[in-house]
Amino acid sequence: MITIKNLSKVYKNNTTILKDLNLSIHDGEVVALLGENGSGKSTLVKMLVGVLKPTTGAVYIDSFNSFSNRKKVIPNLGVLFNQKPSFIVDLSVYDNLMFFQTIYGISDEEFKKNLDLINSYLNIEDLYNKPYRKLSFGQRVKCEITSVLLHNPKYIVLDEPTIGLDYNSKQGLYELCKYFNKEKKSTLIIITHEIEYIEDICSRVIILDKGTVLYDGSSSDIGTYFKKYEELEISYTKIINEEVAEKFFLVAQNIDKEKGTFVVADKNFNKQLLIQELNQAFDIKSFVSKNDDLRGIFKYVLKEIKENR
Amino acid sequence: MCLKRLKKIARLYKISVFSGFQYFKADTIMELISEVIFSIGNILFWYCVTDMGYELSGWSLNQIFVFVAYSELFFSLNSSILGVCSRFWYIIYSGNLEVLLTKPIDCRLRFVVLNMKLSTLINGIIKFVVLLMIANYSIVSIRGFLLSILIVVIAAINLGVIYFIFSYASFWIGKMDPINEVADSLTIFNKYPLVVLSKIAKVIFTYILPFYFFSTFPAEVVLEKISLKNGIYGCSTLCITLGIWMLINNLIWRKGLERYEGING
Repeated sequence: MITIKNLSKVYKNNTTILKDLNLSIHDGEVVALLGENGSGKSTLVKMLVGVLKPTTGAVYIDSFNSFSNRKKVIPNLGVLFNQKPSFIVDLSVYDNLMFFQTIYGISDEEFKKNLDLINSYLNIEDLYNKPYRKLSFGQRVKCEITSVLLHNPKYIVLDEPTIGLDYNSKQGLYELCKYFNKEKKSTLIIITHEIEYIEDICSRVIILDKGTVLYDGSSSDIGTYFKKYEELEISYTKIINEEVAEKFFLVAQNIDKEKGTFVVADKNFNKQLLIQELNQAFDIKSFVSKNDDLRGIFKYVLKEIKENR
Repeated sequence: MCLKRLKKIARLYKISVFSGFQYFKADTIMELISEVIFSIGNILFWYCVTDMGYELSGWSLNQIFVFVAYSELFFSLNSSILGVCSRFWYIIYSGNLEVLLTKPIDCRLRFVVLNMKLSTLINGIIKFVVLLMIANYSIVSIRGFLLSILIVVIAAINLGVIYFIFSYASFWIGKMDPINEVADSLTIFNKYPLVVLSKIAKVIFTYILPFYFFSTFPAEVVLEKISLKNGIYGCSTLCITLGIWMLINNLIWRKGLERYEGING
């Protein structure tokens, strides 16, 4: 069990990142940790795994203080910090995995069994003999995930694990997380913006906002908020009608000469009508609904949760 | 416990170094060539010095070659292992420390084991043996020789610990590029027998930075140029300074970790 007691973090430049946080994560839970940039997600994860010292309070993992007893806690943890490699770049993937086998003290039999299991989901066998430095970003992420799960960790912490992964790999990871939770009884904490993950594998969602817990509840409850919004990405070659286009510019998230991103607040909007209006305003090249990523609609969801509190 | 730890290190070493070697064969051969050239230059330098009639307080040319052998051994140790320690600051500065701290192995040990160059060390040992043969010093006692090697190993650990302490400054200061420069430039003092330096320099390189124990002292032990009493005094000094530096290292590491903020929020 993970217990977070009165946790605060103030950085050297006097920026308060977390304010008096109190949480408990029970064994076997799958928790999605959400929040806008700078909300304190990564800081919380780093304190959870004992890398950062809390300014006040503490994190206890199986009753051990994660910072002062890090050496006792670490063998039970599998931590992925995305975009920070833990592999030795000049060695092959398999040599790297053997390195992890050695430091975690995994027996040859268990190593082979787990590697085969992970490979069946992430399909990394073809990469075994390649030097890590020659892999693409997505391939590296898959290898890092493999190293995190190789020792059957009791607690798995994944920071944005799907960045760089293609659709099939995302699905593989997603099934693998389910497998570890159901069959190996692992507790998972995932920082993600993928709605599919949150709805299907996370039993609980914690939303951080400016260092405090804005929402802590079931993923099905929070799902209703997310489903109300939709982010649309429109690419166009030119503006046809400035007056109509102006209406869209006012609600645009990002806009430049060729592309604009808009958030529609009511999912029951008339798509046909919207497309008609867009066609009047722009010479449209493409029109994409970004349903799988929460980043664009997050601020609207936060606003609504705050209003409903 | 200790044996288990050593086995773990040996296995890590086998994986990292021997596997890495297959990608860098050409690199290793080039390194061997450059080391041979460097050693020839060093021998020529001392040959010219003595040929011109200069004398180094009681050291003959053959004895100087014994010193040069230890000096070259130090440079190999520095290139293969010690220099790595002075580059640890980058791990702290770049935020990679947080990844390493989440793995069940001391991140400093991992850093050294994975970055040390076995090929450089082997080259160094070969060079050391060849230089001792060139010195043609027949009265080198086995006991004295083994003791000298032990002294060099302890001195290497001592200097590695000191370099790590310098690296920890990155917890407070951030970018520490000059550390590498300082560490590299300090090694120049190992090129000459300490007997030619001033008294203050001798004190510094005996009690603070252990350069005396890398080449001058082991050469003196092997050549039996110092008394048993002075030999014991030197060994004791080395062990005590190592203990003190290790304590300081531990203390600053802990303080640094408490201060560490990582990167990316």
